[in-house]
Amino acid sequence: MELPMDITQFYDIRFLIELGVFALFAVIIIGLSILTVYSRNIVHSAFYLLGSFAAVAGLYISLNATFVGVAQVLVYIGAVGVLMLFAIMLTRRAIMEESHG
Amino acid sequence: MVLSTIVESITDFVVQEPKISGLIIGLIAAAIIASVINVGAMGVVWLERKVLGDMTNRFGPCRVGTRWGILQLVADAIKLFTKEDSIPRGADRPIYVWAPIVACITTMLVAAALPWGALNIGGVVYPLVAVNMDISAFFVEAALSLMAIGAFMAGWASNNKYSMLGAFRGMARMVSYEVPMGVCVISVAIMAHSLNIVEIVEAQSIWYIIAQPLGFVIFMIALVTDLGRIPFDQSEAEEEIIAGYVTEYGGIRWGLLYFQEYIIMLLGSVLLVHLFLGGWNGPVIPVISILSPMIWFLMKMILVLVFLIWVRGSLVRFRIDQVTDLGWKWLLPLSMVNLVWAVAVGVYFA
Repeated sequence: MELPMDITQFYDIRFLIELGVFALFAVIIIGLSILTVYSRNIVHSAFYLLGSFAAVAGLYISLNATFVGVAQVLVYIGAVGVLMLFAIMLTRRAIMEESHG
Repeated sequence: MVLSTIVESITDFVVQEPKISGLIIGLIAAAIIASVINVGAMGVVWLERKVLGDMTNRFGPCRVGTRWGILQLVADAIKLFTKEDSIPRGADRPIYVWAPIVACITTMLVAAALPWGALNIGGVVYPLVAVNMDISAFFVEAALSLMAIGAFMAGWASNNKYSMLGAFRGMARMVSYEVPMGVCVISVAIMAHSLNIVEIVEAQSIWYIIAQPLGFVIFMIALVTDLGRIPFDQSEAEEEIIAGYVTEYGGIRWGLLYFQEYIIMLLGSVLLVHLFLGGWNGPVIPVISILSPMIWFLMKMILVLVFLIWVRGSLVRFRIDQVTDLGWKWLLPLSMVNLVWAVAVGVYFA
């Protein structure tokens, strides 16, 4: 009987490591994204979003796309993230009062 | 006999499983880098206290460990580790705890891609670098841009208006100086035809401080700003906002936040040496030829460190609006001019 795919590759340690790393990053990305949406505190949301950006960068690097991964860190965490934090801090005063008693 | 068998089996494993052995080697390199930068930064703190002491006509540390006080930092570290770990009641606990960790991750990322000197074995120069990436200069720039996040987390989570002000100032400063710094790195990469720091060093038959002096000056100013040292230390200006974003921190958490500034100072001077001062390039010293690139590298690095301390001891602090003015109105246009210069004359230096 011919199997549709070669199942012996699942026993290969290298494949398992790759799968494990991918699963780790996927779980981190999904978990942090959900936390971003459901978090009560908007600054916490921003930090969760930064965390998920970092995990996306890790995913790119694990797929051998180093340049895209580093560009993700520079553009999304270093620039967009900082811009978002700035915007949150400068727009609504109520946020600070709510979280900073 | 046993040794050769072990060596043989390790070599076989490396050949058969390049990815797994790469992972193991990477972990070992990470451990080495972590100890090198921490011990190095302790040396930097000691150097700063000694040189600043000299400049202000004091002794600096002179009791713990010989008359030069070389064990003072060990004593300080033990003191910080044994202090009570307290968190302010109004603080945002998770972010307060994570801020020093994020700061340390940033410094470790920068350190991973930087070469730490080189060895000259039989006429061939082998750089000592943990991860020799094709885009290491770009990677270092990206990792440096994360520094603002750690400082901001510390300042925001402390629930103190002075901390918040310090975090704001730090972020405004780092955002405005990241751009000219990045443009300077790009100009260097254009002249060297590579983003790999090892190749940038090898391409410097003429040091880039001579090939693009403007770029060197801009990079130097942007570096001092990124490090948050005295002409640009508005984020922790003692006379205005207590200690800025580290006000509410104590014990080893404060120690980590404070220490990572010195680690970044060490890494920044290494980056400056590699990009503009020819890295480990220099004439071969006859008897100890194997160590000669290392000696040149360390000499240049210590020179840059002493220069940074000298600047701190001599200048006074700017206001935050003057700092952002300088960044956006002067350094950014000038770094563009330098980029054009690098493109125009780069052909002759390549």
